[in-house]
This record gives sequence, structure tokens and C-alpha cells, in this order.
Amino acid sequence: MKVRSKMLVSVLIVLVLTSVAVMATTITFWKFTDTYGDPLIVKYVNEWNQLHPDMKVDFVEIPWAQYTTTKLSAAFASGQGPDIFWVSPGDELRYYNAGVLQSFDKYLTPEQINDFFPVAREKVTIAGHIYGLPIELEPLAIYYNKDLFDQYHLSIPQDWNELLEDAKILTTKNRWGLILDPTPTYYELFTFYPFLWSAGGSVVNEDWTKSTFDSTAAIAALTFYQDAFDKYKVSPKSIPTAGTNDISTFVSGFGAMQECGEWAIQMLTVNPPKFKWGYFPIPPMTKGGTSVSVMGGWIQVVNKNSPVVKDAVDFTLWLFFKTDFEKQWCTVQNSKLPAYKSVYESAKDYYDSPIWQTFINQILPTSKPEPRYTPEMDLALENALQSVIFANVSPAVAAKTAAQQIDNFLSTYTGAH
Amino acid sequence: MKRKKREVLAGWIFLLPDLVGLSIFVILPAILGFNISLYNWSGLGKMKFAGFSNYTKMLTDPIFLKSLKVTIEYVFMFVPLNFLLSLSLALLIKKPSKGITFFRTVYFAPAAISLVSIAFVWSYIFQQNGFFNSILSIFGISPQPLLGSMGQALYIVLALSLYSSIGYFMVIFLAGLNDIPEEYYDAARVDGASYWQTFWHITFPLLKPTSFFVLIISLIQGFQLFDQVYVLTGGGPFYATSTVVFYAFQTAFEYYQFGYAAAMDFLMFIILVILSLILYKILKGGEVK
Repeated sequence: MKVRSKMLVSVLIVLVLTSVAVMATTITFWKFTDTYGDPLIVKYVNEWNQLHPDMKVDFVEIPWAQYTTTKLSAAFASGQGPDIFWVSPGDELRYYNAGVLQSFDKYLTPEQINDFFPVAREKVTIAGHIYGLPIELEPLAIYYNKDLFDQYHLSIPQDWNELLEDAKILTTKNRWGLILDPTPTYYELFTFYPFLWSAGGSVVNEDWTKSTFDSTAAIAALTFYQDAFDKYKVSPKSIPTAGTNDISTFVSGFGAMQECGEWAIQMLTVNPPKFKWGYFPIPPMTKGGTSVSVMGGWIQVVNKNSPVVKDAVDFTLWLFFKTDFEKQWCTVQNSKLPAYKSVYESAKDYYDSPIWQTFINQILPTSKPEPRYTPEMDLALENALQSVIFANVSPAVAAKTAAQQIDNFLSTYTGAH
Repeated sequence: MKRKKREVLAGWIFLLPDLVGLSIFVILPAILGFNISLYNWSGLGKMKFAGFSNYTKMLTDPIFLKSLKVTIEYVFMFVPLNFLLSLSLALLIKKPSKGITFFRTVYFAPAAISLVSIAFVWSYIFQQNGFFNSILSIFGISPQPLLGSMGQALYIVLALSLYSSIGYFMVIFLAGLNDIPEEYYDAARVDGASYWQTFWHITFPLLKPTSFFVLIISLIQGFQLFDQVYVLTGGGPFYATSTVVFYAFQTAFEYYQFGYAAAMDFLMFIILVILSLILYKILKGGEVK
């Protein structure tokens, strides 16, 4: 081989090896687009990339509608899943059952595990192992227009009956009394669980052998929904595209009350409405009962099949335990409750503010983590809700049908719970 | 090489880019789709062979049957209405007159706007306390549930589809109308034919190739209804606007049953092929005698 040829081959080999090395140390990190929060993530990703020029993170924002439907599914189906991604608790089980999630057990110290709030730890624990790091805690409450409450001399409702009575008074030709979610999505279920739980109901028994949804409690919760949407017509059967997880629906005057999460505080503070507002715990079914909210919040997980799994875990641990990302995320960029005790303590001033007290003292203590059911179980529950809201199906029939569908599914289900 | 052979070769070379594109983007995905339909697959992990069980499952799935019914209802309304309205508009604006360009632009404009954007705006207009009910109240009509009604939501989806598509088909018809030689109309006028006689005996028969194109394309559009439903109603209320394509999307990307979703899509493909062939046979491929 001539010298020139040898040099050319050597250069090519070096180039190939270099490009392989560069590719091998790029960590892809996918998340849905969020104009409030993403700039903060970008800031920390840049910081990491400066500290680790040989192990860069490529942060990719994906529009919400694609992220929660086609993008992640299609990527994993074609073996092109990201190394790090965010998953909702309701969706976590599917990834676990498919063997996609990397366990964090061996990477976390006992101190770090103890730093999780119990409800946060429960969210990321499947079959006794920890999969991913909790990002935030997101309980639901009911936001209300204080000016209207004053105008009509209304007080904070203490049970479902009072909630409906207030909503009836507040409903006019141009305004709904109470905005609940009527769309057949996971979010609708997320917002329904507080009512189901407050009535003492559940979806499935402890060991997932039988559905418990055919119960007086579930029927009561479904009846409440039917009353709100159909009997008294205080809740809208269709909502603007923004959806009910967006407090702008409430801000626009579309409704006098809206069920929404604590993330709304930031939006209501940054873009205050023209009226005074407040929030209260979702009332229990009857006076004196316990108000139970649902605790949502995303989880940062690592793809077990990633070629850079250790680096992806390192980045995740660095982000949550070596930087003040979590504090900034919860208290500056958003208004969220942290998943870590130390962050809560370090941000005490922020959470001592009066606006947080109902969430912290009344809602948080009785909240339960968002359940993670399979898509088949979610579909059965969605159908139950949709049928009572729109098709005037008796709540008893809807509960029974859903329970049967879940039982049929569970009879052949072998995955985790 | 003989001249004829060279011509055949040249023909195949010209066809090649299309054939490659069709093979990669249509035929291959269709085959792969059919293959996936024979498996149970969550999109993650291993695929389990299921034979034709995903096809038999459709027969007992009430949501699929409901979605199929909605799709057929929609197609039966959309195809004729789209045909009649776009043809009527084309006839209205064919004759050059003062300000006709303005009307042509106005009628065509919705076809140039993103369907998703229009659907987004309509989702506000057709709220129960939205703009549409305000208009109704002026005429003393009580507020309607509209998008929240199982009986009304599909008609709003239909109206949106027509609003966004008739401008496009109007232009297609206009091109077809302009292709009809003016001499035929002159002869008919000399014979004393009325407007309707001219329409039925000259315009309509000579528009057959255009009509065939419009019917086939709108039939396919009708069966593939998705965007409007996705943005406007999410398939609700309680599946009142859930079409097969939308339900297949939900089945794949919300319920993670990719095999079952592929089976639905493949069935739709077969239905569309059969209906297109029937239409082709009835209209004799749009040939004009």
C-alpha cells in the first residue's frame, strides 16, 4: 500500500472511531414541550454539557400531543427510544412491563431514598424497586372566583351536595358553575379519582385479582358526575381545546369554579385574572368525611436498553441531587410541591406563603398517589364516566359494566401492579 | 435495441421514481401493517402471534362497531353534500362578472387554512356558551349543547369538513367546467334549451371525469376522517364522533394495542379499495361517451 493510501485509511479510521465515540456518549433526553419549565432544563443541560464535554446531553422538546401519543411509542417500537424521558405515573406500568425501565436501586444511597416524601417514593416504586426519580407532587383542588362567591354570599362547600348547590347558583347563560373534565382521556380519570376515593371507593383489590368498582362508593361518584353534567347542567359537556388542566379556562370566565392542580398557582400569579381567586380542597362526599386528592407528577426515567444507561443515570442523579434544579423547578419556574423533603425544607419561605397553606396542611396529608392502571382498565373506567355523562346510563349499570370489563382483563393479566 | 423496446424502457425509467416512492411509502407499509395486524403487540417488547383474532375481535367490539357506524353515516352525508356544494359554487362563480375574483378567493380561502387551526377556532365557537349559541339566541332559539351533544357533535364535524374542503373541490369543478367547449352551449342556446336542460344534457355528462375524481377523493377523505375529530371532539361525546381511523389511532397510541389497530386500518383499506372499484365500475372510470 502506498504511503498516501495508508494515510488516507488511517485518517478514515480515526474519523470513524471519533464519530462512534461521540455518538456513544450522547445522552438523548426527551420531554414534552413546556414553555414555563423547559428553559430551566436547558440551563442545567448546558451546565452538564460544559462539565462533561465527552458525555453531552441532547435535550429534545416534543409537542405535548405527540409526546403523549405517537412519539415515545413509535420511538420505542422501532428501537429508537431516548435514553432519558419523562413519564406520567399512569403510563409508567406499561414501560415497566415492557422491560424498558432501568432500576435506580443500586444507584441511590439510603439518604437519598429517605429524602423522598413517602407519597413520591410510592409513585416510583414498582414491585419493591425504584424506577426513576420523582420530579414533583401535583395534587388537585378546586379553584374558585372569590368575587362571585362574595357576590352570591356563598361559602366554601363542605360536601358534594353544597358543591353542586354553589355551582347551580353560579351557573348562568354565559358561565358554568363548575368545570370538571368531560373528555375521554387519562386526565379525566385523574380528576375523577378524588371523587371516587372521597366516597371510599376503589378500582381494584389489593392483589389485582378482582375489580372493586361495582360498589356503592363508585356509584355515588358516578352519580355526582351525572348530576353535575346532566341533571343540573352546571358543568360543560365540551370544553375549549386548551383543556381543564389549563387554568386559563377558569381565568377567561368560562367557569366560576374549576378542578385543577397546584401548577395553576404560578399561572394565576404571573397572569392574574381580573377577579380575586382562591382554592379549596375537593369536598368529601358528606360533611365531616375525608377529602382525598390525587397526587400526580411526572417521573424522570432511564431507558434500560440504552447504550449509555450508566451515563443517563449519572445525569439524572446529578440533576436532582447535585444541583438546585428541583428547587428552581418547583418554586421559580413552576408552582409545584417538591418530591424531596430537603427541597421542601430549603424552600420553606416559599411554601410558608399563605397561598400554599391549604395545599400543604389540608390537601397533601390525605392525598393518594395517582394510580397506575393498564390501558385496558383505564378504558373501562373512561367508558363508565362517558356513559353516565353523555348517554344517561345509570351509574349502577356503568359501574357494573366497568367492573366486569376489568375482571375480564385481569383474568388473563400477568404483568406487574 | 429496437425503437419499440427503447420506448418501453424509457417508459419504465419515467415510472421508476413513482414506483420506488409507492413501494416504500405505500405498498411496503401496507404489507407491514397487515403483518402487525396478525400479532398482539403493545408497541414495546415482544410481539405475540395472534392469527386473525384481531379481525374477529372487531365483530364483538362495541366501540369499533359504533365507530364503523359513525364513519359510514359521515361518509353518506359528506360525499354527496361535498359534491353538491362544491359543484354549485363552481357553477355560481364560473361566469366572469364584477367582483367574482373576490368571491372565488373567499370560497377557496378555507381550503388554504390549516384544518387544525380552523378546528381550534370552531372548538370555541361551538361551545355551549359560545358564539354560535349567541347567534341562535338572537332568533329566540334556546342554547344547544352542540359539541357536548351526542346528537349534534357529528354534524358540527361534518360542517367543519365541508367548510374546509368545498373550496378545493370547487376549483376542481371549475377547471372541469372550463374544459367544456363553449360551442356546445352556443348550439344549445340556438336550439332554445333552458338552463336546466343545458345543465343536464351538456354540463353534467361532460363533467363526468371531474365528478369521478371528486367522488373518489371525497370518499377516501370521508373514510379517513381524523383531524377534525382529534381537535374538535376527541371522538366524544361517548364515541358519537369516533371514526374507525380515530379509534384505530386511540387503540394504538392510547391503549397500546398496535396489532388490533393495524387490523382496523387494514380492514378500512380493503373497504376503501372495494368501494373505489364499485364507484369505478358504476361511473365507468369517468369516461365520457
